[in-house]
Amino acid sequence: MARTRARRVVVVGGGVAGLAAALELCRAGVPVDVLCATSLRRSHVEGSPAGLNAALGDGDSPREHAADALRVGQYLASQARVLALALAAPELVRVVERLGVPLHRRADGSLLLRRLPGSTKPRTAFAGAATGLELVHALDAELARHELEPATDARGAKLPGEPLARRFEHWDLCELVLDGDGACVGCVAQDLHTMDVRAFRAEAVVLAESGPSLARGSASGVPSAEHALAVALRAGAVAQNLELQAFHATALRGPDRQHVLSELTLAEGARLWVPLDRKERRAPEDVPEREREHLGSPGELGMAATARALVRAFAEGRGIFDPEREVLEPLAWLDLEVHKRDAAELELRLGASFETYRALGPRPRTRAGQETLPYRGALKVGVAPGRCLGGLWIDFATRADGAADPASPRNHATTLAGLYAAGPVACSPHGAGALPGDELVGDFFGGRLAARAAAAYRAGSTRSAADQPSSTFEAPESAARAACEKLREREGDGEGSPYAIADELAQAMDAGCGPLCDDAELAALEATLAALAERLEATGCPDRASRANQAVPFMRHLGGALDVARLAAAGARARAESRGVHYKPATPTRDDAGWLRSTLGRLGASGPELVRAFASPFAERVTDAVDTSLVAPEPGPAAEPAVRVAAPDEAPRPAKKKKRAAKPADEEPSDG
Amino acid sequence: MAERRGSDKVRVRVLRQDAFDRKDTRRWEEFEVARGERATVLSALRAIQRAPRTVDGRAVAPVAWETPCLEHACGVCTMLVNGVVGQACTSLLDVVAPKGRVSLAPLGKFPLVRDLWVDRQRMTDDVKRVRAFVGYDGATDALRESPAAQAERLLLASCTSCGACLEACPQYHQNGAYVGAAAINQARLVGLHEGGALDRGARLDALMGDGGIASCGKAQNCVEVCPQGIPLTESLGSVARDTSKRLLFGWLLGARR
Repeated sequence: MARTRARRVVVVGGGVAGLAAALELCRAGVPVDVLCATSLRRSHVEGSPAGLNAALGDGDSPREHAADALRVGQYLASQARVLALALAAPELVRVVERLGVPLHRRADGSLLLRRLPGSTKPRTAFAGAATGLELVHALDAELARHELEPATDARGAKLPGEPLARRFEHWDLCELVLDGDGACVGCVAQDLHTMDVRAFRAEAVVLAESGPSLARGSASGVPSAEHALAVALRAGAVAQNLELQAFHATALRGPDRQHVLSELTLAEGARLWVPLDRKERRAPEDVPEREREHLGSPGELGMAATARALVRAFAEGRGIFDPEREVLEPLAWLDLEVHKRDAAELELRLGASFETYRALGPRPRTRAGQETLPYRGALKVGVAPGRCLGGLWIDFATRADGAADPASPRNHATTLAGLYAAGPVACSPHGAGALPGDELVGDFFGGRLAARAAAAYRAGSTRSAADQPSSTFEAPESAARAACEKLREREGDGEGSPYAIADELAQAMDAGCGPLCDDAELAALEATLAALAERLEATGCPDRASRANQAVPFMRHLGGALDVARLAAAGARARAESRGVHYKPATPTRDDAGWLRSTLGRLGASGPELVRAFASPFAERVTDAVDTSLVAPEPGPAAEPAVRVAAPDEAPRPAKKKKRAAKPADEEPSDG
Repeated sequence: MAERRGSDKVRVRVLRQDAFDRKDTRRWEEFEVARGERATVLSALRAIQRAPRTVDGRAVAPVAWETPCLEHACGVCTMLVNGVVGQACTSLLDVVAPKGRVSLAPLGKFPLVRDLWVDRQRMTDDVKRVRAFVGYDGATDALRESPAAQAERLLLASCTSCGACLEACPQYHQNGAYVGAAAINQARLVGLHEGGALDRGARLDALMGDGGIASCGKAQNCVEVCPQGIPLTESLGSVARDTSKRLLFGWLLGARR
């Protein structure tokens, strides 16, 4: 067990929410241990190139910010949380600049704010196209400072040898430790270098990890994926709205994964289109405007509708024809004809988001076949999963003026006493769609608030993890150690690897629970997921190494991802309407009478189950009702067009005028 | 389509070692992977992970390497590609293995974890040593800064702590005192910020101490290999000037902590 005499709080996760929580605890003098499955500077906020929204501009107000966010979230968000975030955001952006994040400036030295789709005012502060990354770096350096300070005990006496903050990099969460009353008093984690398993005593645990990722196909090496979410669910926590999954419409198909180009590209004027001709062989710049079908635009409701327009076009047999392999690929052209703007200005706004792309190509080419800078020409893009808007259900306390009550231990409290959640692992404050620029400021806000609440819980708690007998920790510690060992030594039946199962999981979720959901497909998906879970149990560990074994955490995470995927599929099946990112062609409009409510799910004895109400530490009965006390819901958008199913061999829809055969010589390959 | 050079297969030689203290297990193993369209060293490693079998047909343990982001943002997949510092995620096989062969080895200036995975803990320790943090004090009032100053900081702040500059530096050693270009650049960065400037004296004192700026041998390798294009030699020069000034005139200002 990790030794400590300080009454510590454990933060699991080293991204923006986790580091914000850790720093807030340090500032309150609460000793903290930060556990992170990777090293701290590497935990990123993948979906946060947009920046930080705050009502700092002339004529803007937090109320307007909240109204925009609620509209984009299609009124499914907790209105109290949305307003509290909008009220806190201006100060949070000041904190971010004071932390050293180089936010862009106007000539007079004040913050440069840009207007993103969905916002009625310019209100997004940003640092290149990597604001989240910059914030992580700044927070990480500050945590290093607190690692040099000593922790103090309740009487203010310094505890020699115990720093205020301790970092445990490459430690992966295994289990939560609950006391006899079901309150969280610590956790068990595994050192991914030595494979040691240790329990950590904690007055409270703040989970600040990623949301569904492995379940959605962002399979990578070691990172923690959605494991904290799965661990909390297995301990009895309740999840909310896991079916609300955002999708990007601007994913470059890279060799190793989908590289999401910032949707800011669309906000800056780029357009998405597919050729009307299904066997279009010409380079994109040679396809005249009238032979293109433009797909969506970054309208009021963000990217959700654009991603769906792409999926619909692909289902209708449209896409980009690959003349070499004679197949139609589910891709669209992202036309970067945004060069009317100053190139240096675009570089400033979009540069970082093009960095990967610059390294990996394919480069757009000019007519002469020369590679060009990315702001001219066209790129092939497709649809890829973004962030899940649901997550662990968390409590929230507000004051009469609508601001968060930072002194309350209720904020960000999960259904387990002493367990807090912030960042993507927690249900977002965005409802059924996030206003671009709200995610990052929301994570920062959430982490700080969860930390204040955990500190209040620690101060107000009559019992301490320090008073727990060591057996409380030793039993789960040795159980987790045995489980890790068993996993490492597991012999499979010879066929299939966990990596293959992960690929199948991603494909199944993509096919059955993508931007357009169908009940029959969802039912089939649930059966597939159950079968995959069974297969994983019978799969052997591909690595026997007793040190730095990356297969063990991967298999552990994959098991959790399957649980999360099953809950997400169950939620998607239940929600019989279309709202924000969730869309079912069978029920293509919003149904406020039936579904202005959350889905609540947990892992029951017989697998994933949905509930309408449950008890939490601070309320005897929490229901799935959604609070609409501040803003009355405006009517939802009209139904989107249905997919026109075409026979596979059907001739392409006659475009207004086709001149395909006219330019046979012009078959220059369009890209790499 | 990029023109394919060589065959459609690539032979990947990997320098392996089971753990830090298992030098006896150090060995080269050779694998064969398909050269997919725009495939990278990272794609090759992922293919090996899925089917870890050497060219002579032996089933072996999967190769370990650190790979959180997969998209050129985190820096941890930095390794030696054909003996040169590179990042697995952005090293295209067509570029690094035109003739169908590539060798991969772990960075040599960091403690080895396993195979291609190294421990960069020391980079955080050195940030602490030179006190390269802003020291946020809770202030929430607005900051003013010129666009030019902001642009300068944004470039310096793009460091991902990948360690390439340290690997390439002739003065930086695993057990040596020199903190290297990354920490010195970070120190310069925070010094350019209003909050960080307050702690300037303590930071310069640390940079004047053992393993500080004086250890820089001006080989300028760091700036050559930085994947982010950070002007590291400018940072080293700027910090050197600041420490010299403090050395010469610090007593006038009453050098204090």
